[in-house]
Amino acid sequence: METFDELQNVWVKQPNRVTGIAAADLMKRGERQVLAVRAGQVGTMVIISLLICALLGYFFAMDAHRVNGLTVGLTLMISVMIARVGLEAISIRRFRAIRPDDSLQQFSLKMKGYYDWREKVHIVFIPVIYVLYIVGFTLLLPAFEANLSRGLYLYCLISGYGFLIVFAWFLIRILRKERALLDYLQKLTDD
Amino acid sequence: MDKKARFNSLFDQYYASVLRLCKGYFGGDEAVASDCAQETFLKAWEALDGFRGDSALSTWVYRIAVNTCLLHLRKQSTRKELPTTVFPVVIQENESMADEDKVQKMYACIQKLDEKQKLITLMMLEGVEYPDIAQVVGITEEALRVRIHRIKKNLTKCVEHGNV
Repeated sequence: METFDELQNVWVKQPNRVTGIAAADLMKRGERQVLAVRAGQVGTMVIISLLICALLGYFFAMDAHRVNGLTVGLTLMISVMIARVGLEAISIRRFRAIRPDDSLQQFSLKMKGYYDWREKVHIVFIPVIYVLYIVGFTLLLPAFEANLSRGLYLYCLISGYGFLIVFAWFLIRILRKERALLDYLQKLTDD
Repeated sequence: MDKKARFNSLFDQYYASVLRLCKGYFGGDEAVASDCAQETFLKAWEALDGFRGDSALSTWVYRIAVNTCLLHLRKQSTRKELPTTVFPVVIQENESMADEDKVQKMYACIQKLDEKQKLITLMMLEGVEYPDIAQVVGITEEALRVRIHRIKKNLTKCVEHGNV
């Protein structure tokens, strides 16, 4: 029977067929990656801020500060969107706190903690946000019907609920994937 | 030494070893292993300023590599499993072919192990010192030594007969 040392000798002699990677390329990519991440964060915050501004603009333009269905609807939608941004910011901060150079044991535990949090977000917070968003959108519909043409109203109705259905399907997929990962991390930390 | 020089030296010393480790982890898939090795060094580049020398540089790189392999799961929904019960019969024309056959068998055998054993085995094959492996994994040296004998025995047996 072959000994482990003989196998090790064969292992370290194996040729690496993937070539053409240079340290300089990786350094450049690393620098670009840092800039891209920063740009992405700023971009996301700008888009969400614009969306919130648009909703706020609509809120005041439609005289929605008087209490009616439109007020409640828009307030709900704006509030849950801000809450969603807050949750995402917490997730990003928690993920960044996991150091890539932790030991495997610490890393697995921290990753598990992160995905436990994500599961809580997906199972508890997101459904509440989702329901409130639907309620908010539904409360807006009478105002849409009264102020928009029939065609545009139907477009808002179908695309609005259509988006929510697609979003729900997307959330369920993410939840399943993260659940599988959580089970895997659980096994790893139990071992 | 400035950051670029430190990174160059790190890359020259450990890239081949990290690539082999990733290849072993992903069952010999060179494309995935190459992605994973590059991701390891991208992270190392980003984290290099934070390296304070609390451990050996090699331990630090292997920690990043091992965690990057694990994180690769986030991107891969399905994982490649190599059939290992029966190995294909290879006519051994020369030493290089015989070695290639052994490497393929090792990939297949490593895939049968659980994640921790897989990573410990790969570091042992890379010749990483036991205290360093214990630090990378985050277990005591005693706990590691308990596993080492079994890992060595199982790998040699598996390469020989096709089962753990």
